[in-house]
Order: sequence, then structure tokens, then C-alpha cells
Amino acid sequence: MSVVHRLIRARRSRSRLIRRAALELLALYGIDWHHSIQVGPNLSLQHRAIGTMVHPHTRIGADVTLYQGVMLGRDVPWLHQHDERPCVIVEDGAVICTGAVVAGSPDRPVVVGRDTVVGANAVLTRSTGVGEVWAGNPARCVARRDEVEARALSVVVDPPRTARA
Amino acid sequence: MAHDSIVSLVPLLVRARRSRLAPVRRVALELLALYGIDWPGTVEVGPGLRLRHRALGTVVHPHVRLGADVTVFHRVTLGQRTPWEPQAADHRPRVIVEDGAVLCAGAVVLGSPGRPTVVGRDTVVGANAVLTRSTGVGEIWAGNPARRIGRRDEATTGSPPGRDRTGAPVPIG
Repeated sequence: MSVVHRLIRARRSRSRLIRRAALELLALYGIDWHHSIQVGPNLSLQHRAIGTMVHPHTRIGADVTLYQGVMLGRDVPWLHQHDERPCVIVEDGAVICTGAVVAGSPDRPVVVGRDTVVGANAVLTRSTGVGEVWAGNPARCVARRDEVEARALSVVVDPPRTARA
Repeated sequence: MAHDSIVSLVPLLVRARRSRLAPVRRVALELLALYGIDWPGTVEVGPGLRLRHRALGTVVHPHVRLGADVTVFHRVTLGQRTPWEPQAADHRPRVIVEDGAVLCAGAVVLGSPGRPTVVGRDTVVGANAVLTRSTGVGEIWAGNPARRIGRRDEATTGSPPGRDRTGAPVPIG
């Protein structure tokens, strides 16, 4: 278990002092992680998830993968934030790639479906289906994950080019 | 917002970048670098600047003007559209952010000395947007390249109940 995992777990400690110490230490990794965030088992943080910001009350399922620079937050950040309903719900097995922004509101939470991938630097403000790939700004569904994975497994490596005279 | 209660060093350091004492400016520069922030002392900042999530990774060009009550999230870049041109000689602002504007996470606003990009009063620049054109007042701009997607006063009113792509309600809980 990495240091960042331990610190994220410490953010849910019953001791206020430990929570605060974890907050300051996570800030050194550029991470802002509120103690009210619900996290499922086997959270995978790639590259220590440096620069990741997660809104209070976000719900993260099991086996979720977060890359660095991810933002899970509120779509209208200038409004009051005192609401205990989640703005973002990440379902089991989802992958959120580097720099992606997922933004919802308490009235209309954005659900990242089971096994769905959110691409790098995507800005997702709508709920996704299950097992899809969403990318772009604004994000749109670009593929199904199983098709992408099947294609990746079936790629035939090009034979080396022969030098021509 | 829960984060408001947390005292952060970053606003103090940003203020210290305008100190009259050169060593204070330098120490603030080096400490801000630990937060990934590059904030020159020549940036004009109005009162009531709000830095969300410590504005981690925010980079600002030396000749930028920020109005009053501006909100800056993390990973924001305010800079020159033509970064390959010499920067030092020209002191005209590249970007002018008017009062009450909100720059969301990862927003990039780029302008040039001859044609500064103006973020209008109370306008919101969305997350990961790349804005190179001036906006009106109270608008919402998002996307890459950024385009106007709405007005802020409309987005402030109640949003429709949660629906997923198929039109089915999104379960909460």
C-alpha cells in the first residue's frame, strides 16, 4: 500500500488531528481529498494520483483506477456547496485517465458507469453507460471498452521494414 | 464550502509576491513553486481573490490583470497566445479578467499584447477550456476551443432531475 493510499485512508480517521495532518501531507502531492468521500476497495492510484482533486461526498466504487490530475467535482462551482448528496458517482471498475474532469451537481449527479473509461483531458458532464469509452471536451462516447480491448489484443505487429536501395 | 475553513499559505504567498522587499518576493516565489504555482509579482490583482484547492499548478503570465472577487481553481494558465515571441519588452496585458469571473480547473486563457483576451464580468471559463477570444458579461464558455455554451444566470437556476443517456432516471444511492 502506497503512502498516498495510507493518507487517503487517514482522511477518514476519527481523529481530527490525523485528518488534518493527512490533508496537509496530501497537499504536498497536490491532492485535495475530502474526508466525506466514500471509497470502495482496491482503489488504484496511478503515478500516485498527483494533482487529483475530489469534491466532498463523491462516491467511488470498487476497483476504480484514477490517474494523475483528475478532477471529480461540481459543475457550477460558484454556487453554494453545502449539500451532502454526491455530485459524481464512479461505479465499479471505471478508469479515469490523466487530466480528466468529471463534473456534476447534487440534483443531477454524473454517473461514470461500471467499467467505463474517461479519456485523458476529457470534460464529462453527462452520465455514461456501462463499459463505454468517453473522451474529448466536451466528452462524447467514442467506443465500447470491450471492442477497444479486443482490437488491442488482435493487433498484428508490423514486420520490420526492409531497407530499399 | 468545507475548504474555506482551511487556512492555506497560498493567498499569503501570492500577496507576498508584490512585497516591496526583494528577498520576500524571492522566498514567496520559491515556496509557491512547491505548490506548482508560478505567480509573478507584476500581476495586477484586485481585492477578494479566491484560490480554490490552493490553485495548485496555476501559471500566470507577468502581464495579466485580475479584477475584484475573481475565483481561480487549480491548473489554470493565463498567458500569451504567441509564446515564441519575446515577452519582456511589452508590458501591455495579455489577459484581463474582470470582476467576479470564475476560472475553472485546467482552464487556459491566452491573449496577445495587441489584442488582450478579456474574460468579462461574472463570466465562467469551464474546466479544461482553451479560451483565446474575449467573452461578454455573465456568460459560460467551455470546450477546446472554447465556445459560449450558456449564460451564468440560467445555469444558476434549478437543473432538471437526473437522467442518464437513455432517458432513465439516475439512481441516487
